[in-house]
Amino acid sequence: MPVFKVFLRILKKYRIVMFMYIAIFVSLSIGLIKFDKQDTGFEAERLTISVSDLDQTAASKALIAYISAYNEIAAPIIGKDAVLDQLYFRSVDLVLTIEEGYAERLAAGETEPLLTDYRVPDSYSAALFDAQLERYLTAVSGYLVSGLEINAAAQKALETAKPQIAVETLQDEKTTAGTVGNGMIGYFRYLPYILIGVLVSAISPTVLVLMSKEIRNRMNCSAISTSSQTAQISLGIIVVSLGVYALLTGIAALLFGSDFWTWNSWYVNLNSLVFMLFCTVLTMFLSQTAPNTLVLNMIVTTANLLLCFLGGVFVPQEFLSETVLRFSRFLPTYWYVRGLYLATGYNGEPWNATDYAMCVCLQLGFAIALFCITLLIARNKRQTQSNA
Amino acid sequence: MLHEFKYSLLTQLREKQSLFWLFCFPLLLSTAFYSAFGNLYEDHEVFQTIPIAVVAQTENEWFSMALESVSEGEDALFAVTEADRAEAETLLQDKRVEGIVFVGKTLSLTVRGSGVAPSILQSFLEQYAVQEAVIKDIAAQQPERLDVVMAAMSQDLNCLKTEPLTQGSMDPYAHYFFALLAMVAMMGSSRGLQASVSNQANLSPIGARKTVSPIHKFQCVAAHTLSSFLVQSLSMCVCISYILFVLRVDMGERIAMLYVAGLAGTLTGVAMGYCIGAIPGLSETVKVGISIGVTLGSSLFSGLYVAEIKAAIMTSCPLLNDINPTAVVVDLFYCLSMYEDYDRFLQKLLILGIMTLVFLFAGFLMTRRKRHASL
Repeated sequence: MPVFKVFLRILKKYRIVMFMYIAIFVSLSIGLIKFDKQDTGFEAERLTISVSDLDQTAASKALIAYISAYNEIAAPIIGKDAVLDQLYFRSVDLVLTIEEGYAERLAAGETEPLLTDYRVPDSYSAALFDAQLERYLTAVSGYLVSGLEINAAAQKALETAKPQIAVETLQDEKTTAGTVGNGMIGYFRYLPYILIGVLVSAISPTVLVLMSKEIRNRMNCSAISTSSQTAQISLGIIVVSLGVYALLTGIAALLFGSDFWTWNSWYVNLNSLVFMLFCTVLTMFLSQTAPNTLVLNMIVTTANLLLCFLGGVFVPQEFLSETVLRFSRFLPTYWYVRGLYLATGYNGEPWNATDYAMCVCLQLGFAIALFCITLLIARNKRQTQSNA
Repeated sequence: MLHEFKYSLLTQLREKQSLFWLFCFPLLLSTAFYSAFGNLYEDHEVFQTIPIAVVAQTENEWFSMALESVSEGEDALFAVTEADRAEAETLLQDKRVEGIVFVGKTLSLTVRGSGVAPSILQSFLEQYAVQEAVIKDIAAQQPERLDVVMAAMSQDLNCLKTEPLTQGSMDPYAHYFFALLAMVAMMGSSRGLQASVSNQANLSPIGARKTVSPIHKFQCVAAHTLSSFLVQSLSMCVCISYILFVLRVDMGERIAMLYVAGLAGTLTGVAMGYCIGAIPGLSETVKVGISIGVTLGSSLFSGLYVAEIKAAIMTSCPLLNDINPTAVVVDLFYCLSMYEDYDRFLQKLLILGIMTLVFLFAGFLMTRRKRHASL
């Protein structure tokens, strides 16, 4: 199989690009494992609050103890610019200052201004903090009016303000497919970007070299028939695609251990295998249509970014607007991500075999449609060349 | 020199590939950013009344009053739907409410999962439960003070004063657009690199041709660098205009200054490319590799891919943000969008100006008085 061998030899030139893509992806995936946690029902949101205590009394310390029971406390931030920077990048959710004389004025029944804060205006985090603070201060003022002195009232409020409400999560009648770690979901969610990047950036330029006029002419006057050449090139594309897919799946198995060997992981793998098929066809399509590697790079970069941004690969689908999602339904990446969510029970997504099958079939449909177009273009090209 | 300038400009504008990277790529990327991040802040961070369902299993007048008080008016905390258990669960399953409050002997809450909205609902219920506990506690110990305590606890407490911080939008996703513009500015390095390479006889045939022509080398280099700056500036202005007027991303009110920031960044990008192109002993391919690597690497650290990276550097090693030209350009846009005065903007502009001068001077030093006996 000389053409197949040549294909692999040319591909070797692009191995650095391929491994660079894979190495970056794997490094990011290792980072994702850090955030790997199972969804275990309801957990109250914890804000990050920077607190400056200018009062330094037992009452102000009790307030800090209360805040820290429900939030993460960050170090005081000095300077308005630094506060703005930290709030803008959400390094902190709120910057609170307990003013000097807080305990004294609270004991005297004065309310303003005991505390000052900087916050993201009209945000959910600010509303949550307001609710938390009001709960504590109402209890303190109640105990103060009852006749307790400020430190005792603050201490008593701290004890009373502990959570008492039972919170349950809804037991869905339709069971989810089970849950796997967020790290593995993240890995497979980003997989389309890498598959498109690796396969198209490495395979398409290789095919373009084989399709160039001089090489094509040389092959045509050899003893190998055109159909055999096409078959060998196709075999090369399929072998490399499967190799890349096996490598990425193997890495997932190593990284996610027990999560990877659950039964829903097989659905995840089937979903990604079908998407790999689409990528392979996309590679063939671009090899037929791109005039040279420079144009190919432009098309790949643009197509990859658009497919991934609009399909919900980079930004989870639940964050995309309805208008974008309506358009995304015409992209295979959308159905890939939907299939992944169904297979992993992401965000409480209920398992539905019909929906999952539809997601896989639609990806397959995109691949078949693109394959037909590719065959048509290839035939037209051949006819044009033979006429010329 | 004008002749040089004209043809260098025409050459750059006639390259289809460069036109794609100059105009189409930034517009496509900003459209992709907008489709992904455009509504995230409004939809997921700005507070909107939380829809909840209430299942009344027993009569609880106090709780009904408390709930009513926070469910009225324009800035209501909750929008309440009264329902029976089955209806309420359907509403929760269909994501039409954030939680179900069961009002029985005690209060209980059912939610779909974690999140800020369910946490706010939980906190509200806790507040009611705490008030109840305090009243019971005081009723047991000092029943004579109960009326005063209840009156005090039903008063609105205004202990917290919120200080205004900025007139600008606190949308953190706007950062991705700042970083994108900074990347466009740094993409000018490939133009600057061409200006440098096409004037070096040992690197390009056109450089060899120019070296033997009677025109002064400085004029050649200056004309090419200026035309590169002009072309890249055009790309920058188109991109800023597209983000501001087509996508309508909120980048503040000082629109003219945004263009100034973009042009300053572009000049630094072109100067950086010129400097890289002037490094002796490297082939053009290696120089192109360095230029792309520096552009993408500095964009990574300026938060183009993950905004938190810039925030982390800002906290742990702020100096890195000051020596990374892309991060400085991002800061220019950020300052204009967020700060009311120009102090920090001018400080960043000065840093960028110094970087530009260093790049140009270094590039000039490395290319001047080069003679070749043979090529």
